[in-house]
Amino acid sequence: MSDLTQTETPPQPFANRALDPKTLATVALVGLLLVLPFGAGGYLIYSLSLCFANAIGVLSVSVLVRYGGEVSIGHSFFVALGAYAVAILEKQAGVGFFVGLPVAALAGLVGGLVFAYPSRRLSGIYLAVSTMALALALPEILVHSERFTGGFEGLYVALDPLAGLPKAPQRYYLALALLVLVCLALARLRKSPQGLALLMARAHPRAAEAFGITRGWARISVFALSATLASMSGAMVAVASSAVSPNSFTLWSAIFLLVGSVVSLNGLTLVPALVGGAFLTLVPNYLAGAGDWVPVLYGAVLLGVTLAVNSASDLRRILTRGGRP
Amino acid sequence: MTAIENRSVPQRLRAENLRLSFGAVQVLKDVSVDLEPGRITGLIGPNGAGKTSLFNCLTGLYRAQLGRIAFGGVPLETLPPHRRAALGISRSFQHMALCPDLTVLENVMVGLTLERRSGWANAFLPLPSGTREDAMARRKALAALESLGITAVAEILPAELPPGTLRLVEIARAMAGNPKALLLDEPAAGLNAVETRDLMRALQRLIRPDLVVVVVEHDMDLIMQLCDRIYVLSFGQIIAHGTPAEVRADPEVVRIYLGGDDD
Amino acid sequence: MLKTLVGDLPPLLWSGIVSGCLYGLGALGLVMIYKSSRVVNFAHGNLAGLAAFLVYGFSSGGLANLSWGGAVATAVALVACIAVLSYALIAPIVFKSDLASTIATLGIGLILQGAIQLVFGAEIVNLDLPIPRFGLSLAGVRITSYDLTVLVVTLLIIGSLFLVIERTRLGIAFRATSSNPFASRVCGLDLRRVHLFSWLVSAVLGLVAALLIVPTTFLSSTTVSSFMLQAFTAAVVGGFASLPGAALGGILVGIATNLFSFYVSPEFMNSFLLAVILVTLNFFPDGLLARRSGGRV
Repeated sequence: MSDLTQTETPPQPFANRALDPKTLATVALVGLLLVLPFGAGGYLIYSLSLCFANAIGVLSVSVLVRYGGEVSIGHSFFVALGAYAVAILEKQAGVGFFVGLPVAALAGLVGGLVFAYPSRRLSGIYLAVSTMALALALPEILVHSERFTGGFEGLYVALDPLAGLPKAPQRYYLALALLVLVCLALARLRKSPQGLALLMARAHPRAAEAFGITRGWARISVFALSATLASMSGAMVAVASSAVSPNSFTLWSAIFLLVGSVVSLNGLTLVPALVGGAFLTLVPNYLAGAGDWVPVLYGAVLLGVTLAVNSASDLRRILTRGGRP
Repeated sequence: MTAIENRSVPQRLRAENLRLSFGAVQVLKDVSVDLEPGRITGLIGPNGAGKTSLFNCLTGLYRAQLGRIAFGGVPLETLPPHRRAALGISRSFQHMALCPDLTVLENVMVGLTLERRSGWANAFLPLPSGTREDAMARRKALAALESLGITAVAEILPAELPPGTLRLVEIARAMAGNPKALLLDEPAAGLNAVETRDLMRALQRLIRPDLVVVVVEHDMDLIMQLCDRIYVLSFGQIIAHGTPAEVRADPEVVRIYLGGDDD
Repeated sequence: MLKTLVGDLPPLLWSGIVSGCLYGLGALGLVMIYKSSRVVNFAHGNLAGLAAFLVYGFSSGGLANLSWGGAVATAVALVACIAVLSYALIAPIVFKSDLASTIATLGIGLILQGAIQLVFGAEIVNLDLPIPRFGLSLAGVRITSYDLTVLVVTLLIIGSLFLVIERTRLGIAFRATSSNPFASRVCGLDLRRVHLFSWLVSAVLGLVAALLIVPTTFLSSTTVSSFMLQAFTAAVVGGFASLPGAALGGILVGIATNLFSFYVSPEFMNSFLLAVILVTLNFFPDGLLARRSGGRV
């Protein structure tokens, strides 16, 4: 379109959005997932519960990428924070998931705030470097704080969130509910003043500053939000897998989260989150025999998707520029 | 003047004896300007004259080594850009600074960030207070688009619009928060003749008795037609100021602009 | 108390300086690439690890049976090819997005890590330097031939790097690019050549650092990359965009980690480095050597 006269079509009414095919497909998918436990085997239900929990972790990384333009290879730290919060609360205080989850979220929030504060005004690469240190520091902290964390062996999470109900289905439905709620909250964030402000700060930090949005506020907010989500995911993972141990929270698991986010194209809705979560949960099982090929494969995925996405955006720009009179 | 003034009293933006240098290069040498509400003031000068540096000192991107800046009596020198924004000083950008992921309307709503009160709980939960505020912000943003005649593009992404419209969106965003000073950085850069004419009409509609409007430009014709007062900068100094007619008659200005220094 | 301090401190400082040289070499490689192309190369440690394995493979009969010198030369050639290839892969996104280039180097790092495991398996091997073994005592500090080799090699490397950057055309282009990439492109400098130069130098620095590090422990698929945190910390302490800063940062980090593990706890080394990074970013965001400049806010 070259001038204003061509844009006379009225703005689309908002009411129509609820009926667009994407939303309908998502609703149908949730419906399918709701009835699935009635027909599926125990292992699938267990895997899917983990998949939902991991999907929240993938979302936490995608939030950081989308709203902050930052990359983290240390989110295993915040996932562990949430997971151990639930496990330690159960062991020390005998309280279950419904106390553990808010505590986990709070721990993630505080952890994220404290961690992002030092690099709040610096280029994102400093954040990436410090997240690497975070991921590498985590295992030694877990292993050497045996009194609380159970050291190498970790801790069991045995308490059922809803006492008296069968174990597997309640984990499945809780994880699914948490995932759907997180997706709904993120959809709302996109339209909120904070969401708009963060996206503006990512695209043009200087311009954002002229409208009262400082770079430090944006960096700290995004990171704290992302860390909170990661910790919630950790709390759910702890319950879904019945145990926590240092092995599941290494630099590798942080990189897996990033890979999961990258394969889901950093999407913030249910379907991409499930794709990322499935990648994290199922692929390691199927690749167990592939052994040494796993890093190569994951590396190729990171490199390939990143290059493809970037050349696609180039291509689109060339096409749209060519198409304009 | 007292530090806190009534909102209804028109405030002027003044800079006195600004001096700015980068290393050994003096970019601004004792520059003073008095920008009055209710009229459009132009800052003009050849490339490298210091227009953009002065503009950046006013908006807070640069900090002058010497001199004072005050808005309605409130000293600004040491305030960072976001604090100046909170005082009602708003700006547009020469290189368009719209967010490509947001629609035009949402980009304009970013201009309202400072007056939004809803907290993080509202960002995630559909609380009534947040929903009400959203609707209000939407109305204000639409009103800003309407004042520039571009409501039709509200739901469109910036990438699909021509530069002339994008520039108007930038100005709408700067106007949305009902600022007391509006600083426009080369608003006509990259626009064709038709777009420039549309822009000029839109800008003339913005004049309000309590609004300071400053336009930095090197398009002499635009400034002459649009502005009520003009400051001419050359080599970091104000060499002339006055009405368009006065400036046009100034021999020094004539020498610079006809002497081949202009690009 | 004071007596043990006097006795403990000199050897701790000395060994801190020696390992600090290694961290500094690692950090120099990171900073070279960051300065020229604004990419944080997370593959640096993996490439250096692969380089050490290549030297082992070519000298032990695993891949070939060359002399140590021949093996190093072959490894340098191969590592240079890999560096060029890595740069070629991410060249299209350099300058476009920090985010994308960081993720891409992580990907390259994973691929290289996998390559080490595929070719050399889970082998744990020794790879020593071909130097005579001797040691001497000086003021209570035991100085070995290994220590001296590290110091001499580090000084030689830093000296020649300094000469290249200060005296050659390529070095001048490198300095111009690192201070203002866009202006230097306008001036007709070929950015790609400068980038390639820094990626190649960085790869060679990584190889040298790896060869010097391995004799202190053993060589496994993760030995070298596990030193990356020290190198990154050194780079951050030095300001990430300063070559002298990286070298000095390495030595500071070497001394600090030595003191920490001796006096406090060797188990929490990575947590200590994390703390060093966070504290440095908060109080000295441009590194310990930064000078303050005015004008732009």
